[in-house]
Amino acid sequence: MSLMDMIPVGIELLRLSGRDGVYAILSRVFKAQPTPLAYRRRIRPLGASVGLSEAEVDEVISGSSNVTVLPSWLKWGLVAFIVVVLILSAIAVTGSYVPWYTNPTYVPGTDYASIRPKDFL
Amino acid sequence: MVRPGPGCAVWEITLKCNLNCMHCGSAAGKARSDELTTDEALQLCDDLKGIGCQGVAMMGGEPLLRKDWPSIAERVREVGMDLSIITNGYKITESKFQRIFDVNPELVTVSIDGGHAAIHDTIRGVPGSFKQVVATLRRLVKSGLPTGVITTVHKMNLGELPTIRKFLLGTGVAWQIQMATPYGRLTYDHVLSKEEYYSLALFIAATRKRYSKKELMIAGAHDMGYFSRVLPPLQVYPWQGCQAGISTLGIESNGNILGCLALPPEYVEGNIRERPLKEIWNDDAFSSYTRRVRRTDLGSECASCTYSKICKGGCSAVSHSMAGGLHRDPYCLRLIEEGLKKSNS
Repeated sequence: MSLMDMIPVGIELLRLSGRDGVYAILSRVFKAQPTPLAYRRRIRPLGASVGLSEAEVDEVISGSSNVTVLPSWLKWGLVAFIVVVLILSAIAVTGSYVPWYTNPTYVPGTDYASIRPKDFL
Repeated sequence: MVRPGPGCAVWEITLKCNLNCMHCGSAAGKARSDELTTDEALQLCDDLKGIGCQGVAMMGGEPLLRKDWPSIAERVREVGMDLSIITNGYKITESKFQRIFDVNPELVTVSIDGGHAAIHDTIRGVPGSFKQVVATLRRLVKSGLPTGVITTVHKMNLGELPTIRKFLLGTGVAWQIQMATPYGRLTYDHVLSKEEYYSLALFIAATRKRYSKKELMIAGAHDMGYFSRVLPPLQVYPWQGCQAGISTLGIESNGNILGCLALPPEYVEGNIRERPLKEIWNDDAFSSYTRRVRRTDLGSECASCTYSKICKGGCSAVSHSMAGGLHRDPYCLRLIEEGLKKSNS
């Protein structure tokens, strides 16, 4: 797996560790990919089969639009660039060290038969 | 080695059921001939607490048809575990409601599989069941008990989702959506195609985007996902591989133990009448298919995926039923998206 492949894994680990805010920002910036029109055209009928309008489908699959609204500190300046590179490197290194043989971590909440209203809070 | 306990034990307290659902994974109807006695069930509550279990989801069959369900529920609460009850909402008498309120569970979940009576009743196999479940849901919501709704989706009710959504808007319930898998009574021809599954994911994602949590709380269950390139996460908690035998535990009404109740009988790994629960749970061999996953266990597409170490090949129940083996769940958003892109180019 390449260093670039490790970035999304590292981003997911941030979410697993409960850093949802950081996860949201990074996933918008680095995971999102432009959704080609042709691909959107392919997806829209799938949405239509469950009553979604084209606009609703476009909205939900166009995570890429957020790339244009990067925080200003991230958007401009060499210093910000360096910070980003450092963050990426750290995340990538973290991602590359996910072991296969873990004693699986106990998960306090679970999706199994027990999704409660308070789980959404 | 002593392991941390499961977050949630899903316990089929009886296989007896008063409905005849076409998608029922355990083909419930008649009670098993060898179901646990009251004493055994109460002891099991203590034993679950003994292994560090944090909560019990009581289900069936229809759990409220077991006469001693209030005693079991009370014991679950007494020993300090969370309790949730999953009921079909059919023929819940006033006295049963009062028992539920007395037990004060963390959650009561009812199943709604159609937005129209004709569809729900056809799926559930009993005319009038829709009317009753709607009444039950309203009663639960009115009582202020935390309430959930589970919709199990297959070909017959995929198109019903917008109507169900309309009905649930503003009720304050948590809506859990899951895909029906071909176990028990459900036949393969009713299982969603991969494209229909993607439609379902779009629906969940779009609903989460369109409505605030105050308006509607909606999430995909353990078989909805994973790691889409374009869709936001659909589940409440991040997916980190099948949790059978890790943070969940399945118990059949005769004391059979397996990692997850959604799995078929060949995954039964012990019975509490033959071996203490503590021994089964702490056995290194128990649920080794999830506790010790190696890259070589994964199907080829999963093994080459960026997220393989976290995902470990998706939902075991879907993988087993739809791909003939574990750790190769073909109902994977990322995989489906790759297919859609290829068919597009």
